[in-house]
Amino acid sequence: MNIRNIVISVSASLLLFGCATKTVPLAKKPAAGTSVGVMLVMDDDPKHVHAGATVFSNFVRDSVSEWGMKQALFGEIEKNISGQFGLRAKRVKPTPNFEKAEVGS
Amino acid sequence: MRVNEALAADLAQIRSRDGVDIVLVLKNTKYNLWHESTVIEEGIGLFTRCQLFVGCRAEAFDYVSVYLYDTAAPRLVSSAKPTKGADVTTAQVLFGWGVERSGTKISDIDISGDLNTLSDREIDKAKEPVMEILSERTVAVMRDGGL
Repeated sequence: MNIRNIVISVSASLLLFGCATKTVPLAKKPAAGTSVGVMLVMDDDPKHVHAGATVFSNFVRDSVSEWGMKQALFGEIEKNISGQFGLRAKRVKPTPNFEKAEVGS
Repeated sequence: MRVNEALAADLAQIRSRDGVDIVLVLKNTKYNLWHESTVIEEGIGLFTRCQLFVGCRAEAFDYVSVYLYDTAAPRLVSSAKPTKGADVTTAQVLFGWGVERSGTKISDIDISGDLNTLSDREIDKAKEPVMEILSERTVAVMRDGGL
């Protein structure tokens, strides 16, 4: 490997590492019984999306079922948070910034 | 991973208002439901598609990402996106001349009926698996986050 290739490899590595976004776990586990906020930024009812044989028969229908997804999902999460982690779930109201936030930002 | 200023301010506000050190956020994420055509959607629901000679197919989708945030030093601790779309096949509907591609019997679903009725019934079938998938995704994010 000549000098030029080495320089290109090192530069590419530095660029890649520099761009990488890394998440780091919490430094210490919260004490048992600590509350975890749960924010659900989603609709309460599922939708039905249909792709027909032609684009003219495509449609999207909101609120096709009174599922009450958010409540059901919160119940499931609450069960896990308490059963598997020994913590408590607390429902947190979505904020406008979280509603419009880009993924992970 | 650091968050932008607006989210950092919201996390600090949540910390003082709700008294929580960590926040789990479940948020709709846009995905293309069907690789053969652009059908961008997000959230939870039912996707039905009909093709000539093949028939109609119903699938549940769960395009919801999960994020775990630290409110003390506002940052993203861990996250998980849906790994694939339409991964819960609840049923496949076939016309008489179609090729059977799943174990679902043709008599299970009557495509000649109203698609509205079909969607209600299929969404009912999808509830349990969708909840299971989202529950697993949430637990995985919490474990990755060191909880």
